[in-house]
Amino acid sequence: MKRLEFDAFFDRSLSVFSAAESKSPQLQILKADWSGFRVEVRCSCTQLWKRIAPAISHWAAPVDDHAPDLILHASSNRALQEPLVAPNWIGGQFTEAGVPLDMNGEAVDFDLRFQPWHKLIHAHRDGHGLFWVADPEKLPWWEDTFPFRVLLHWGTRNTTLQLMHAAAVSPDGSSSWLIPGPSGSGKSTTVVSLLESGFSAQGDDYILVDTGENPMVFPLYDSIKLTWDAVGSWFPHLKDKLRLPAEGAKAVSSLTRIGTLARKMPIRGILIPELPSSHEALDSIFCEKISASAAMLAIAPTTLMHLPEDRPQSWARFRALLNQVPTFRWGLSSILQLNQTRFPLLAESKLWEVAVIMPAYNPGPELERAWESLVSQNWFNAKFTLYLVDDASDDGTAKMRIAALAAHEPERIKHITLERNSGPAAARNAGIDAAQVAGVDWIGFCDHDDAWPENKWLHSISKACMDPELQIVGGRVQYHIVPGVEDPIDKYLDDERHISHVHLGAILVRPEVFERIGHFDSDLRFSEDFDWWNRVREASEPFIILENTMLHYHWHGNNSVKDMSSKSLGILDILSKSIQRRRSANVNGKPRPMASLRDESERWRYDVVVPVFNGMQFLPSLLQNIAQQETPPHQVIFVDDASTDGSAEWLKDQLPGWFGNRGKLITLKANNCVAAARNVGWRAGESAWCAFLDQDDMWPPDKHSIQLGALKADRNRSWATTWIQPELAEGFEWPDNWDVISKSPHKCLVPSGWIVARSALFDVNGFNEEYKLGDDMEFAVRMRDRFGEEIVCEDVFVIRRFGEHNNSNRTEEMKIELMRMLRERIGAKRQSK
Amino acid sequence: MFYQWSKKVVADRFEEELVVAHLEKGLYYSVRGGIVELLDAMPFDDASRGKLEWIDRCNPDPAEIEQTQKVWEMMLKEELILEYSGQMDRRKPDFMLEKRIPSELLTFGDMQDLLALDIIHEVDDEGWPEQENEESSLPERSGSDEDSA
Repeated sequence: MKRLEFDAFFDRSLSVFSAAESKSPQLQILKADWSGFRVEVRCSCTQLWKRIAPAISHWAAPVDDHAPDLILHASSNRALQEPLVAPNWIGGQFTEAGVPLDMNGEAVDFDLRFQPWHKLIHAHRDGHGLFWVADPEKLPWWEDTFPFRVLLHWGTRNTTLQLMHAAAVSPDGSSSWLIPGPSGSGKSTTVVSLLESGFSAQGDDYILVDTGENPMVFPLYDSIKLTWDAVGSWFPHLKDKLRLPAEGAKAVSSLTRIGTLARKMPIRGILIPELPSSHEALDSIFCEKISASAAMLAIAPTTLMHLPEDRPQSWARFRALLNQVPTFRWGLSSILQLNQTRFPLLAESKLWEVAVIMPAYNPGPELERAWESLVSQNWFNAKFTLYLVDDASDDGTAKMRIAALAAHEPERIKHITLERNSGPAAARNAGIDAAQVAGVDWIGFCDHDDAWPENKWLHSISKACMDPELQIVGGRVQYHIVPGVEDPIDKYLDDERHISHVHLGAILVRPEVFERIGHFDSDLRFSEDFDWWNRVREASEPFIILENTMLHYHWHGNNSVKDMSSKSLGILDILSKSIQRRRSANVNGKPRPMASLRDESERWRYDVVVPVFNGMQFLPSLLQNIAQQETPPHQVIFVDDASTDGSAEWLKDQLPGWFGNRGKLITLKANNCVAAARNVGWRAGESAWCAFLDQDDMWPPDKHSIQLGALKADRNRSWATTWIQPELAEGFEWPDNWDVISKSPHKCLVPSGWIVARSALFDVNGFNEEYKLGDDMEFAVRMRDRFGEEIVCEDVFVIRRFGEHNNSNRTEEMKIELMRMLRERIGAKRQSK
Repeated sequence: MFYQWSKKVVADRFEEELVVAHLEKGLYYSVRGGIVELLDAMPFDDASRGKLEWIDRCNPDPAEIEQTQKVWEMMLKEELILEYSGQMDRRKPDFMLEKRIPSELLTFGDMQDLLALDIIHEVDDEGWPEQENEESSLPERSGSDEDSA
């Protein structure tokens, strides 16, 4: 192709694109800034934009108005005023990779893909890129997942930026591993599995890397592709989040639908994944460093094959990157959970010092079992020392037992003897003091009759590396009941006798926590753990309770405490102290709320409460709407407020089919008000969170996935809401005296958008039943007073139907209630002064 | 018939605040103000007479009486106080507030799963774990007894 001909083609085409952009009322503009390289997309074709926008709408705009370095013009025959005229190909020359050359043998930035079923052109010159599609409906499905790839590659040729065929996942939220690999290497399966377990990712298929002095990775495309085999084998539960874009295509989704799309981050290193040829062989050796040259052979070929232009420059950029970041071969396990646990620990070189504190008073033979559980622990990159604190044992056999153990392992056991018997709290404190002097990284506890599960340390340190802000990592306690002995627990979390409670043996703590909140109260003989946990939660120390078993607790049935009342155990004293501390710490004199101690699976469960009154017209679609929630509720509780249209009977018949034993119907004998029905509903639930849905409203399928995700990201918040998309019933006219703003999407101030912590509902005593119409607003005011503003999930739109049935019709009555509420608030404020 | 604390509840007074724990529901409560004086007089067979005696003893103002009545009803609704059949010996209340504050009932659900589970550690009177049995099952150890002294 002659250069002149290309230039003529480009000038003409750019002019056609620009004309379409200036005339298009639907022109879409998107901007990005990658290490100061500014890109602007201008798309004049609505149908084309619909195809490509989902993968790139997250691009972060620059903070200034400097002119872009690269403008990407996108359009199709549907939007252009005149057709593009093809350049003259006759006598053209191409490289082996199909790159056209000019008469001087230099590559021309022109990529033409003509197939019988689609036509697509990329062209680039002087900071402008053209992306032309004949018919957006016929654009190949894969182009949606990485639009403008070729143009970005050309456009960044004179920078340190490089597109790379690789994934990028962050183990700790502050830097990312690049994970290159061709199809079939396990890359996408690994990324999806890591996303699901809470890691964030910049990309699955293509990423943008700055190979300059401070290597960075940018999230380029919010898309993910999986083979349907992988979906069937590993992720059948994700089918609702995946789509089949065309026959024979892969399963496509977005990173944001499955997990979190990460922001730009420094590059930690490169992991070359290797599928296990033998599961056992690779199980133990899962990460080894490889040379830069070996790494280059692993990372370069696929990118250079996909983006054949400017190969020497790409090669040089890869080399520059490899000179700066380390590269490892990562042996993947066929057990995805194992990869998830190991991911934060890959290439970790730190050797952690762990103190395990074991208070002992006349210990029995189970001391040996406790010790063995510590010795057989998987101490990944860690060295442990047992601080065996003898609380002045006075039984000769027990004393010998302690001494024998300490003598047997002097390197690993620090034997401390208290002069006089002081109780378990004092004994633990002595251990903590000694451990702090030794400068350990983590402190754990194990009573002499308990035992640690094999992978307690591995699971704990993996989580702590994933979230470095965590100060305490805990988990479930598994009860082991001696046969023939009565089980002390009424309700376990599962059939394997797990609970989540205050057992200190189930946690690992950073030593600094004791400096901040103090040691165990040695004046307490019982429940010092309960008291300590209250102080931890009052101080908002970041902690997590995992679903993994972190302690084996043995119950022998010899318990003289079982009959002691809670009073005697000092529980009330401990509660009183906690209330006092929280009251003093809070500005308005009311005790501050505390974070939940439930484990991660329990902590994010939610119930749905639906108050119903004569709602037959809505109920069928309502059940379907709730059932379509991506994150399903634990319980669905309908409270029928004495309907007369058969709603209760219909629900009784239909609920089991939709929700099995998760569905519950409560029928009230007399009609009261929606507030009363809501209160009955949430009190009947048991999950940590409660969502409310009015019978005439509808949720999007991802409402709770998004809201719970937001609450997980900000664990001190107690409630969240959404936006509202109003929908007018057929024939319904918006009354003149209604607020016009409410007719457009707006922030949701009604229960259908809320999800509220159960503990908060108890705290504010639910909805005020004296308000028949404005109970929701009154509730919101009290919640904000007590717990602060709700999280607003702006991407979630609850459909709120307006019609004659709506209470909003009763505006005069609502005004009266509003005045009453304001009067009460003024009175309360006056009283508090 | 008489009004008394529910058997599912434990309550104790700490200075001028009553802390109540409902062990079945897992909720706990802070009770303050004149209601604490009234509750100090429980059990009583006639709620109205109990209240009149409280008014007579402690001399609250009308606003406080109204608020105390509201809190009493809240406590009945929460099933913290129940009516029991039979007769019970009256007791002479001896608590009075030093400073009059409005009656208040605060409910806390942030330990619901902990209190409802009512975990009792298997410990002796001193708080130490109960042992499985007294026989030693430790293997032979090297080293002499003197090493462990």
